Amino acid sequence: MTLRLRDLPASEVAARLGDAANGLALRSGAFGFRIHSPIPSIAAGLGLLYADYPLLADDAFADFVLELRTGTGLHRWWRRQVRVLHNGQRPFEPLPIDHAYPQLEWAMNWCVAAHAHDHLLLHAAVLEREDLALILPAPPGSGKSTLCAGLLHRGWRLLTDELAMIPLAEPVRRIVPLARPVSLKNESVELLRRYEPSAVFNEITHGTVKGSVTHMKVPREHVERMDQTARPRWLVFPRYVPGAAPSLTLRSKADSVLELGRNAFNYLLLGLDGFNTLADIVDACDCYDFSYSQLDDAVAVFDGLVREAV
Amino acid sequence: MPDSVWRLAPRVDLHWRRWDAEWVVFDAGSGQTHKTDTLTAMTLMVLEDGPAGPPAIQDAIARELELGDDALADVAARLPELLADLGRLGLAETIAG
Repeated sequence: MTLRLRDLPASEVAARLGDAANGLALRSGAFGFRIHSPIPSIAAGLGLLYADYPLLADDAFADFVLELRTGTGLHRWWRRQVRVLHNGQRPFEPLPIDHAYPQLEWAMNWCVAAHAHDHLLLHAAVLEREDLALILPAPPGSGKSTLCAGLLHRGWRLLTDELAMIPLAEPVRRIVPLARPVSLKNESVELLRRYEPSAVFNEITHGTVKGSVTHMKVPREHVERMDQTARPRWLVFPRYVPGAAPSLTLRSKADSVLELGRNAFNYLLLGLDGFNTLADIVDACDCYDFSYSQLDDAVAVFDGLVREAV
Repeated sequence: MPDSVWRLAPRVDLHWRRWDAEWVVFDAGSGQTHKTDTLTAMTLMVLEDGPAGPPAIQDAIARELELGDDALADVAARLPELLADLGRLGLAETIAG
């Protein structure tokens, strides 16, 4: 039987995180993360948000090893800090200790975005219905994560809220889930609390570079299906427009290639493999621009796409 | 430059996708991706086959697209600026002399 984080008492989660030798190792999507940290908010956040994720054995390979330490020198007492190390290197500047949990999530994103170059990595949310993937690429501030968080509570399965992964080597293009908690910020948090009262959130961290941020737990059934890939079917560029009626309009595939390339983490790095993968994704999808102001409107529009397709 | 002969710039290595009249070309030499119209795509494809001057490019496009006289005149009018644009993008260049 697979051991999951929820099978451990909170004290054991904290103890494993503090274990300098093995840390706490868990799997999210295709990747294993081994995490070391004595910081209580890390243990609390992981215990809440990753309860349903499988644990890795102490001697199992983990793709990424992250340490989140408290500050050194004066920063042990004064303006306490969190410092992130990846394989012993420090890729980020220290942050205030209160930012430790979101810093962990951002570091986990960075691990994938900076290393998983056997995949085309798109800055996009991806959700699935009927094995068909809805890809929502967008720059920050477009409402992508809010839209993603709403859809996953209305029948869509989450593959990722931030980082879409398409293996380069697979001749049939499928999107690989990452299935990590959904990042929300500022007014989106309260909006989602009202939209889905059963949604589970970590505590809010105020004063980050992104404002007030938190992460929303992925429903258990989505985590349990995190090895199920999905076929790209719709590529939708969303835009939140206050007060707007929903509007879904077809867009040029050629423009979509260029825009999706701009929303990729490693397109320029991958050369021809990246182009072929990107163009295959666009080729497989109906491409749209979508503006909206109400989550329920968006749900109705995307449910309509599914009805037309199946 | 009616007598100039054009060729692809060194290290240009083009890979194509088309949707209706929209073309996207990836230059593996530079890593740049460009959206083009059909005339630009045809011009680059002619240059992929080898160096050519505007008259030869026009003829090749006319044959490929089965153009009438009016359309051919339009191609002739657009070709100088189009080739200059390809030069600015680093995709094509004139052969010296």
